[in-house]
Amino acid sequence: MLETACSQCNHVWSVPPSKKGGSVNCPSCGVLTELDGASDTGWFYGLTFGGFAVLGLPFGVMAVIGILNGSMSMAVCSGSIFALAVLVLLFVLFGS
Amino acid sequence: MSDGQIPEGEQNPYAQPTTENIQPAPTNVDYSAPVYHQSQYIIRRKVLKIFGAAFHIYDMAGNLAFYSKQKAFKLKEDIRIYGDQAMTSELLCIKARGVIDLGMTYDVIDSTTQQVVGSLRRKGLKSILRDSWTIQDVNDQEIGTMTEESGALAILRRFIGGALVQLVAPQQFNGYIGDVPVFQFNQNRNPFVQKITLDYGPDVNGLLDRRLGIAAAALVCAIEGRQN
Repeated sequence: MLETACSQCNHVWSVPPSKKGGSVNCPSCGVLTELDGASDTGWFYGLTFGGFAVLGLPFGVMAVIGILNGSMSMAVCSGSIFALAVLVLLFVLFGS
Repeated sequence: MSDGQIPEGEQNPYAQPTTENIQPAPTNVDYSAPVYHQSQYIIRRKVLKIFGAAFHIYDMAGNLAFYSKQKAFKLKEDIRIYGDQAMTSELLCIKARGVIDLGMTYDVIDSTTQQVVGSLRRKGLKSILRDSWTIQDVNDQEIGTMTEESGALAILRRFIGGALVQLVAPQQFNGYIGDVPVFQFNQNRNPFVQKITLDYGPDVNGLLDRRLGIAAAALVCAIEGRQN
């Protein structure tokens, strides 16, 4: 069970874990209370960071290799894609 | 007066609010208005909308009954239903509890009273072959179902392609409270303009909270429509 507190009357009560990320009315005063997080937080972070590790990180490694080898075209191309991947990651994590 | 006492005529500033003191938010929405109790509506998806989605819900006389808008760039789906296109009177709010919409639960909130009306849960695995939803009450107890008719046609839609099968056999959803049919959603044959006829005619006993019914229609249009 998840414990949640009403923002208005501070009443604390328990809700089923399936309600995580949803909305409930306080049983004491009836105020609508948002439950933090999301019901699928594990899946979300797993897919987000997994996707970044597979699709974004290799370009960062390639950019570093390009810089070390003096291949500027490879470094710029890979670095640009890596920067785009980082932007997408940041948007997904903080954009909403 | 001794220390610690509150002078007569003054209120205790530290007093906890009681349920009796709190009045529900004033509402201009008249749920007895005929617009909520029509047996049929037509929901039409706005075609030229790049981000998010919007739907017009008309009554059978062709008057705009509701206007629905899905917020763009939101990780958790957020759909609002308004009483007018100017979006001055928000009636319902449909919010996803999570991000990944496979098997997602959507809370339906009455925006005028700020009360949770119930929720709608998409059955993730079952919906791979045939769209299936459960209608839940405030305590997440299943009170009804909404399923795509004809499992064979549903599979054809997924493997042959939505547009072709939609021309021949448009998608249809049937809603039940318990085992009692309460609504039927019929999609049109036009694969380019999504239009769904909402028929609440079977609900002769008023078993379905119409707010959940309208929310179910908006979700079918927004979620299932996006997959098509």
